[in-house]
Amino acid sequence: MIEIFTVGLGTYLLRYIPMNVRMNVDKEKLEDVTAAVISALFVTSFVKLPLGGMLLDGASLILAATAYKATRNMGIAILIATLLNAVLRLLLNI
Amino acid sequence: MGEFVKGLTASVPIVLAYIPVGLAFGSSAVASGLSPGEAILCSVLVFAGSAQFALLLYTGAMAIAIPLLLNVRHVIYAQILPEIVEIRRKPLTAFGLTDEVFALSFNASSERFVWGLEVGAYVSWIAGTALGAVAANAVGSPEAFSFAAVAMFFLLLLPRLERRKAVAVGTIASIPFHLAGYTSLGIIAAALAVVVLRD
Repeated sequence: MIEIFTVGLGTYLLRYIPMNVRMNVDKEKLEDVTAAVISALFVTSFVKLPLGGMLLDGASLILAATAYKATRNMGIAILIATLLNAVLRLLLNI
Repeated sequence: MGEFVKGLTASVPIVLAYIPVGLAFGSSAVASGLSPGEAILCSVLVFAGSAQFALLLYTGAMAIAIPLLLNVRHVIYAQILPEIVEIRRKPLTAFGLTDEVFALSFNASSERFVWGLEVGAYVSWIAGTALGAVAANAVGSPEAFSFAAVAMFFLLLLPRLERRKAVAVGTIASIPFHLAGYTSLGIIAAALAVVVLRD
């Protein structure tokens, strides 16, 4: 129990304290850091074994991009792609 | 439509991703010896997926140090968020700043929008945990729905592809850590690498 409370408090402080420390960062650098972090979040969530699952996810991402282009609604695009991904995983037993 | 409701609506991709992962955490927590109440309390207080899974794997000081090390990347998010929208209630807004909330915050025009994202994420995370802790065997683990997070990061990345160098650096810096099993360190490495290479 003590571990849960300590990690909860520590996690909160890691999110809260930096908000109060304003650094004078130039906007261009911030945009680059953001792009790097988002790309890292994507790549680390996408790359996983087995390879079959990654290929299926890749195909589903193309559908997500197409749906997003058509609807301009991220929620709908992700919902469509996720449902298709789930159905294909079930059918292909991945 | 109010900004909070807009944020709540925009949180749908997060909800889709969090319920199955929360379910997996809830069932894993109970399987590793926590009571259902403790598993839910963990999600209520910590609200950080990878850190919570790490909590289950270690004991003693390591059960505190490893999860907190995994969460150091939140320092970067907390620095960037106030540059996107004005944060007036920091103690409240800081609590729900997860990877996915941070990523979708780039669509925010106000702090209330961020709160909508956070409430959607928080409620689905706790609901998934509770479901997993209480009825994991009956429900199963629909892992396929974790694809929602992959799709969300992908769609957020598309408009940033014009920053080719930063995207390449982020990818190259994070992959080795990810493959070695230290994904969170990879996120930090991506941010630091792009700063170092710019300077």
